[in-house]
Amino acid sequence: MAVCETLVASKYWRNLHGLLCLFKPSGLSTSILSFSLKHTISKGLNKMKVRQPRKIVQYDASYGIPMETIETDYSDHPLIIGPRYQITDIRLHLPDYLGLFSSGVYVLGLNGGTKAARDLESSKPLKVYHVSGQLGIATDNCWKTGKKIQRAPFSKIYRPHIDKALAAMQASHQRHMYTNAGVDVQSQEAYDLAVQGLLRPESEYFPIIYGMRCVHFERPFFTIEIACTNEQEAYLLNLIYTVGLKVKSVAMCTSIKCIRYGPFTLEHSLLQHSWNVEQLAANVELCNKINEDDLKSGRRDNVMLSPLSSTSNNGIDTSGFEVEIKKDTTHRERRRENRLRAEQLEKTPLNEE
Amino acid sequence: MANIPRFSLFRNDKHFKYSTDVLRKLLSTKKNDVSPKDDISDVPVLNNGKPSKSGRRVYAWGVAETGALGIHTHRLKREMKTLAQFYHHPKRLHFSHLYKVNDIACGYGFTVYSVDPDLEKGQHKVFGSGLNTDSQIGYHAVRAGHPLALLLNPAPINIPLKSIKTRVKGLAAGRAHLLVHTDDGVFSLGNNAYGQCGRPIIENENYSGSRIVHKIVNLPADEIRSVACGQDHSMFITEKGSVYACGWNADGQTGQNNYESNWEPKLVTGDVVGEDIVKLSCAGDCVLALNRKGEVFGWGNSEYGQLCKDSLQLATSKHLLFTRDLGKIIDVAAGGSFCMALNEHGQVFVWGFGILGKGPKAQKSMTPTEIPPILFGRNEFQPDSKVNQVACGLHHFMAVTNKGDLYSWGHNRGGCLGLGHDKDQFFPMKVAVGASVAKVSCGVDHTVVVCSSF
Repeated sequence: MAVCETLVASKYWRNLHGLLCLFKPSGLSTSILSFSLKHTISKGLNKMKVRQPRKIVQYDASYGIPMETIETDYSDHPLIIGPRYQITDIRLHLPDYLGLFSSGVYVLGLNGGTKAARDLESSKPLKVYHVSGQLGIATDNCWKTGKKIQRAPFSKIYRPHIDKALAAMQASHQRHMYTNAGVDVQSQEAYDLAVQGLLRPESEYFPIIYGMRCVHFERPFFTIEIACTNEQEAYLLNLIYTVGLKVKSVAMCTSIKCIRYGPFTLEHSLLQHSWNVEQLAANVELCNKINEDDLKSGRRDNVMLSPLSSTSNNGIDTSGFEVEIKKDTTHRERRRENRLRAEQLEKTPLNEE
Repeated sequence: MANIPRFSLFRNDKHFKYSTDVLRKLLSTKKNDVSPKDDISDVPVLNNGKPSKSGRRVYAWGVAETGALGIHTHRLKREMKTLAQFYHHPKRLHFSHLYKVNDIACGYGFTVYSVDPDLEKGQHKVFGSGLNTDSQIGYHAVRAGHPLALLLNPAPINIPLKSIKTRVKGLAAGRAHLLVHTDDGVFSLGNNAYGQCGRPIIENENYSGSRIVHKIVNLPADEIRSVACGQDHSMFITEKGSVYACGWNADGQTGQNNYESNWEPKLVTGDVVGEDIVKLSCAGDCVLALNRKGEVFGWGNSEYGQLCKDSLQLATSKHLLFTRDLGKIIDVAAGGSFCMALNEHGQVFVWGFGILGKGPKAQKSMTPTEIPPILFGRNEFQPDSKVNQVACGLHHFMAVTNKGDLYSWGHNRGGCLGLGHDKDQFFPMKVAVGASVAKVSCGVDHTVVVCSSF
């Protein structure tokens, strides 16, 4: 085995703890990705200069005077116990927002960063997708490789039709945003939150779309940009089919690309041909820094959704409003308080007239 | 085995090979069971038609007991004998598929539609449904001598038009009377207890089962541009923009500088004289008028401080000076105890008393306050969304954006907000109408919208 003596494996191993931002290609399942990544890392590290086997100090008393000899401990030798870095040594946390067909920004936790990845995932970060579709053909699983089950004419469909359908769907989701924010819609608190902008959902299961627009239309192909949270791949596939029905045709999905995951964008993501230890370690360092900045900004605990751009504020001036969100309590605590209050209200008997 | 290329699963690894099963599958010449099907000629074709602009639809919601919605489906099969009392969510009218609906007007418990006539069925251009206690939607009787006081389905209203080519230009409905504005003139139906139908008041007149359709003759010589109704009074705008009014005047809502009801349409006095008025809005007894320059005038009831702070009534029209700072106003709406104005930038201002749309605490505002545009869907993802039409019922508000979205807030009497429940809504919330809204009309406890499909 060719060993690169200039690179020290332990130094790189120390850097491989944190978040990792990859560009997941379409058709690569997360389990294969996980195995591929673990394999790449372990192989890469083992090619470097690894720790030498331990030494054993032996005392031989047969000469009368104890003789000290230093020998190699073969129970610690790579030829006995295998390569120094094993696949099983590497821990990964894989969020499940990208499915088999999806591609794009995929943020996962590596070794010591699994908790950070879990926290990021549970904070329901804003995700932005570019989802492409093709009008005129419907398949059984809404993906382009599925069995084609239906055809429909599409020559009379123009861009305004798609724009209109998307605008209506988005506006309806704004309503779900208020009803799923974990506050009573009839309360003053709901109003104070509503005037400040986009709200995070309380539940983890209800997909909410914050923005949808058509970014490319060349009949029969179209691409829509979707900013959403809590979604799954099947939801996006279904959405393309729904758009097709709304414009009185049918549609199938040709590509799903995640271009943003919370503070991480395509710029930060690492392409598949760069998945080697050196670049992965550099990426972990970059992602950890972004994650720290995101944590410091306090956006994650806020009921308000994080802004589109990680540097600027969310573009809406909130200074003029009378009621400010309390900074000392987190969103989750406030939601819990509200829930308790609502339960108490339900328990109190109504005045019977 | 020497000829078999060494397959690498991972780019950075030359030593890891496919398992033998995978290799066998890759190298075999046997065709896969599921092959991608490129020929789609035998796939069935679904023809949904094409997306059209003319696809008019009408949705209605609110109290269904009065028949104002024109829907009388049963709620559940096991409750076959009881009719649905409320619809808390928009319900599509089958009627709008039979006729192309051009205009709508909601009165107190009834709705009127002006349609393109279906010549095979008749020449009727105006249909109505709902309460008919005062024959406000015409004479309808199954048997002679037993006039119907309630219509559950839209029924044709007989308006004596000169020819089939006569157009119906507009409709307006009050508490129990109806104005139909046509090329031939303005016709009135229903209750005339205060002279709101523009004909002399007859003592103890029986309006139930009345067949009277009165053509208002005492109007000024120049053409009428549009008509509007308050609770029990009627108003007319002429081509030059002057305003005439008749009917109940207990709060000065006909603007005659006195408090006596008049049956003859008379010019509204005060600041509106000489102005080119383009829009009138009234749900109860407070009237707002808008001129072409974007200035707002008001008269009638002001007991909640909508028009002026010093008196409870305005018997003559007054230029509302406090609206000058709001920019050029393009739409106004007057409710029972509040007013709303919309300026050219799409900003919505409310003032008065009630659920104003600024949270549960904001119950009263003497000066116009803006409702944040973010509540009407203007956010970072949709920065060009703005309100372009507003309307008021007695106790609720409606606003339509340029995207065709409908927002509602206020008292939810009988589910008239269309939000799927009967709780009050304290800030604008989108109504889930499955089409792009073109016009909204608010009754006292129901709402009807005309939409076009996507």
